[in-house]
Amino acid sequence: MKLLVKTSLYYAIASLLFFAIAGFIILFNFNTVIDNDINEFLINREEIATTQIVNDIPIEALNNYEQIITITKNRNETDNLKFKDTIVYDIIDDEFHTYRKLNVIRKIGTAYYDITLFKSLIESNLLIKEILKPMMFVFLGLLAFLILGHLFISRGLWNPFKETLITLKNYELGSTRSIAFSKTNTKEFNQLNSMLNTMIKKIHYDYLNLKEFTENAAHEIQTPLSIIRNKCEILLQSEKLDDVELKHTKSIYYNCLRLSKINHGLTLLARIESGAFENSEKINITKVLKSQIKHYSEVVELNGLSIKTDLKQQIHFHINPDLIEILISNLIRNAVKHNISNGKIHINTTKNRIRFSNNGDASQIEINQFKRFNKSNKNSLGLGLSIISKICLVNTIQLKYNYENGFHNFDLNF
Amino acid sequence: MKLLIVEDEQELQEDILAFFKAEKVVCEAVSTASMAKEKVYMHNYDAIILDIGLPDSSGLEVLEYLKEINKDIGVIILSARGAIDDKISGLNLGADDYLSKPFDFNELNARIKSIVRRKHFHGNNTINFEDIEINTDSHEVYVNNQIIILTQKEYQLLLFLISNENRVITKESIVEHLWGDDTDMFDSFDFIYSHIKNLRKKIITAGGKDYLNTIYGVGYKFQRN
Repeated sequence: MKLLVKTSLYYAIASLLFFAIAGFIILFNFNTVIDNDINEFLINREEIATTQIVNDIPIEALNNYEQIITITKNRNETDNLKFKDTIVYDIIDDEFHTYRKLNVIRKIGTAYYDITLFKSLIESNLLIKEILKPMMFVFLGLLAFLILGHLFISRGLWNPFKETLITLKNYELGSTRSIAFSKTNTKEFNQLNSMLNTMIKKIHYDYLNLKEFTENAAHEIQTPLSIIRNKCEILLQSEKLDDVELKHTKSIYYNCLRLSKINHGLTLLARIESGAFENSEKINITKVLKSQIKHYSEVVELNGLSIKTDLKQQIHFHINPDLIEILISNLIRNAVKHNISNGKIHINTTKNRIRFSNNGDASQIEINQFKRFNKSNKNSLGLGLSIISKICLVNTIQLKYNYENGFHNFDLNF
Repeated sequence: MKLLIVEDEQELQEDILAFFKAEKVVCEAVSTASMAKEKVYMHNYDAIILDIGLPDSSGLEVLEYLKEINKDIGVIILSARGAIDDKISGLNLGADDYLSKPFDFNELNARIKSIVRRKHFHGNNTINFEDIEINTDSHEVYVNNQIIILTQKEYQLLLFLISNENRVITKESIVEHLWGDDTDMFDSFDFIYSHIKNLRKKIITAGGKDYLNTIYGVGYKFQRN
């Protein structure tokens, strides 16, 4: 959820809660005031009625629609004012209306009178409604104003943050371009930017250091490897070694070769990453593809595979000539190495796309097989796919993979 | 044949020296570019094995110097960097071949011999090994003066074996020589057997002797009986 939406939502919830409580309190206050008012009105009327009885006005004349006075034998609870809300049928409106009822028993002279008075609550209910209506409008208006104002102000306030995010997104570790955050007048954002700057500088420095170390290690390792390899060869020439010793020597020899190949692959990856293959030119990809297929035709045959091609579509692309050769040869190698016996390889070009398909184990390649040293095959170094995906990434070639009908398909979209 | 080895890594230098001495090649070794320049100025060599990374300067400087003093010597570059740039600048400066570390002695041997052949016998270029004669120009092979037809790979294999006569050659060496960087494309190197078998058969059918010995578990050896 976006930050602005989130804060707006919180604002709205908080305001609504506040308005609800405030509304409730106001409503309660009004009710109490009006209630007291009505009660007082009824008490007043009762006093008038009592005075009238005292003045010997006959109770028949006093009885009316809102006032019922009877003589009662009930001697209990004299002078006890009993208020009650009730509904009374209104003949004129033909409906029930709410009324406040006051019932009291008074001893006037020797007689006991039961006095009941009614007061309609219609007006007071209407009054409350009339008051609440504009209040609601004020509340809603205030809420809308709050949220809109918040959105508007926040957008401006958070703008530097957004810019920082965009700058970070566009930054590429290891690139020669240094990162530059735009200045703001918000202290916290400036702090954030300067902290990010320091951090990135440190990371960049570490990265360069590590890269240099890797490159140096890769180079320096070749000479000792040469010596090991050559010593093994000298040992292999010796006629004094027995079979077991020969076997061990061969194993050293073989693993030395493996190590130097891994080293080679890693150095290549590092070089692609560091942009050593930058100068590009317009290349006829189909031509490169044809020459690579020719180059590998014997290897394909020796591995007992068959290859079928459809390369009518010419594809042109701006890329470093060495890189495209490495890319295509790695894809063909991949198709050969991860094949089954008597398997097939199909290579075809369509508009701006090359598809390499090969038979292989039914297991679908997981996407993390594009990472280094992920090998499905004991003889492979596990670097081929990561070299392929790295070259594609650096040159914005879209690499897609899927598995269908027993074929692993690798698509290059130029 | 006279060979100059320019390599600063002492142990590697000694090994190369020992290897070529065993091959009955007259050779000298130096470990800096300045000493190499001095040597090539004073003496005449057939070939130079030149390391790129030298303590005093790049081996490429020696190449430039050779051009300067106008000496046509076969040069094979050794480099610890598998970098294509080194290869290209080396070959542009007049080196004849390029080998990246770690390399195979047999491969180095075969390449040195090939360079020396090219430099010394302009055009007329034959190798004789007992009853086998190879014309490295036309890529024709004769056994008892009778031409035999070899595939490209069989031809390369024969040349490689003869260049390294009397030495044990591992299957890996052979595959690396024939396939270069594509060595890792094969699950097993068993197909080398069929190459060897076919080559042997073709030579024997033409009346040649069998010079090819199998060293069990290791590889092959081409030797005069």
